[in-house]
Amino acid sequence: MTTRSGTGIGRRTLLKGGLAMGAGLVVGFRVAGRAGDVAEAQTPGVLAPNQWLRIDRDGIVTITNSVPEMGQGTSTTMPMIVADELDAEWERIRVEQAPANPKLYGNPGIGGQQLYGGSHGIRSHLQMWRKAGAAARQMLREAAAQEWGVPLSEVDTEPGAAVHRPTGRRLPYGQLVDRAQALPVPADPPLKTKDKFRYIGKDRPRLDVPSKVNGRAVYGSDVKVPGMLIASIERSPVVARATVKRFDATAAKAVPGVKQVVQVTNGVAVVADSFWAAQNGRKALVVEWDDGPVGAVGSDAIAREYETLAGKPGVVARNDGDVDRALAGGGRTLEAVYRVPFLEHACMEPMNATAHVTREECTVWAPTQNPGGTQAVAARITGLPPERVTVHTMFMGGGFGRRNETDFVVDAVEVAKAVGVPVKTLWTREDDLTHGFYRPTSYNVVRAALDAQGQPVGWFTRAVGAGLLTQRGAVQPTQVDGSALAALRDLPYDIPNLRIEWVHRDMGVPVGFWRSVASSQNAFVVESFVDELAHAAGKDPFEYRRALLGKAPRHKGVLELAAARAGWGTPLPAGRARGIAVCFSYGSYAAHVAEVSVDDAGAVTVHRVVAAIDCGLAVHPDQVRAQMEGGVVYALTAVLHGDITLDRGRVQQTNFHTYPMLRMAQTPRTEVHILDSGEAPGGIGEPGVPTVAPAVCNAIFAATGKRVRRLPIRTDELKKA
Amino acid sequence: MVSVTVNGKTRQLDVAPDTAMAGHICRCGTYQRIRAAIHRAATLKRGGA
Repeated sequence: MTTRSGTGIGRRTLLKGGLAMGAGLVVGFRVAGRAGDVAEAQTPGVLAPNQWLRIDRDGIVTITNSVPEMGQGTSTTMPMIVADELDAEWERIRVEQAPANPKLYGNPGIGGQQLYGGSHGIRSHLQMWRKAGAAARQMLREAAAQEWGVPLSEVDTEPGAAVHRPTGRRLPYGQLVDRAQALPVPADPPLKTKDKFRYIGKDRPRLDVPSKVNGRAVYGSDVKVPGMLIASIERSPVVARATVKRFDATAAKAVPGVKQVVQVTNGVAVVADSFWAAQNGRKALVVEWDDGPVGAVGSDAIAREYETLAGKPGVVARNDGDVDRALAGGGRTLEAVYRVPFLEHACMEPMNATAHVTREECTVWAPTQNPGGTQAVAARITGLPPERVTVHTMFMGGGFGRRNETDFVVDAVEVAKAVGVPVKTLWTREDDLTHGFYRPTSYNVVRAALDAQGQPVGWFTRAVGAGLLTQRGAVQPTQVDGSALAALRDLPYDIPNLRIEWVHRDMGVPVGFWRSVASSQNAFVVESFVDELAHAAGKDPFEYRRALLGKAPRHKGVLELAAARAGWGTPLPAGRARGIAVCFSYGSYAAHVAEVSVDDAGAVTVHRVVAAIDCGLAVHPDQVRAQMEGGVVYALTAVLHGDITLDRGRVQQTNFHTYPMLRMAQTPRTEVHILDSGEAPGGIGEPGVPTVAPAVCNAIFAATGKRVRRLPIRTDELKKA
Repeated sequence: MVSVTVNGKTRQLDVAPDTAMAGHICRCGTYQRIRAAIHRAATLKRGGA
């Protein structure tokens, strides 16, 4: 591990001074000015045709990236896109992180909110960013045409300069800035054809990696602001909706270094001059809690309740043909119950935020996927108008959907408002795991009817769980919650009679958007059960799926690619077997083949995983591979270990000894194959997760004859009798 | 083999990278790339290409 000593001053300087970073030597991302004053169209010598880029007289191109960097690489991919259409020199690019300003930087994929989830980073911005770069290029070409007195059609560009092909004359962009500034910004500039791409579709080293390797990168928890105090919040033992009855801060205040103790929405904050002192103060604090309604809830009760509800009709989310008749038709029928647990995101960097609140303004430094929500929450708490709230979106040590939420921002702003100086509120690992927004547990009944040839003629699924949108009040409990039905409602297989039902039951445990959301459990249900049907029909699971995907060519494409590259059907060493699965999610199609063995004690080893992905245009192929590789590790962690349980409303898993993470030795050899379908881009952050669990569990069945219908995998269910 | 440098002193550990790295967690799942980097660094140190 690289030493971090001596970097503190550098980080502080960075934050205060806001260095602009050159490509290749980026150590963090400067936040562009204050909300509002970004497009400096009127600044002499700066060509700023839109909010995404500006070019100065030295030819330096500053690109404003709106998508927060949580390790997914968009802070490199985004400038690649703009630079390509602009025809910029990569070495003259500077990148800065957008301020909170939903009007300028709202995410078109999420209704214009400045919120980044759902794998929208590239797919929902690509055309907009290409046009932003192309508009500037067009203006620079026009400026050069004027300068030379030649027709526009004779002016081309090469990286960083306009060129007049007939005479070989050349003008660097920096020298065209003043003339270009006077020109109108084209609304619909011509875009490059694919064969002209210089950066898009080609691998490029990530701008954020050097700083992350040498330790100079500034994550949210690294933020240092002059005069800053550190707060740690004593949170309720119950996961949610508990309240403070009374507290005694006498002993806590006597701890050296502790400055203040203040009650806030999420508990009682101990504010100190160091995290250590705040922790000691927290231990000395005496808080009496009212457990509230969730204090009576336990995992066993939730499981029993869901099982009961699974026997009653739900809301119909899809209904093709007549599934009841198909199931009662006298052919062969199968029924199974699939269950998945609550899961926590377990970002490596626990939740945190830093805030400074004065009467006139508020500044927040937050490792957040939700700069717009951060601004809105801070405005609400401080009573300031949003434009007086500056948000510095910091590097995140993982997001995975956890950092969509704003609870950790509420902490910082409330405490900072109470104490009047800058405050960083830092969660412990225990806080983080026990106060999350969990991937919901679900209970799924699946039934199918097979004809004489083993083909499915009817398919029924009833899913019981807590809907994310329903819990947030955006959907009524009697309505279909779309957030719960991905990969279930859009079943790709050609089955004439099909009904999907949904039952919402919220037991009060906060649920959230966990990487790939409902697809993470529904692909396990669907792809495991299809496998059951294949085996029941006595057919090869790959060929069985393939035959049912006649109306789903892109599913079929990745299925075939994964099978081919994995050597499906070829012999394996004794004891090993393969499993396969395919799923569409977030605009992309993914398939996995897992190679697995199970020892006599029931321990599962995943030896190899072959992934095939059709995400349309792969703007940054190595980043696509990286996300797919990371998706395997994230999903495998859940398959093998992930299990959040509750007793009397208290989350039982508090750290990595009880909520284990996959380690290097358990990581399978992973190969990623990108299928170039020529389609528009889909997402890539999430689509690599859903099919891993069913591919592994289908391989376990092939190896042992034992069907895993409940996650995580339990070795005692797989050991030899 | 993995060599570890602490306070300027290099020690050869007779363990595979997977064992040496067992105490480290990477939630973003870059294990495969870290493993490859360790092997590459070891090769370079031995004067390999």
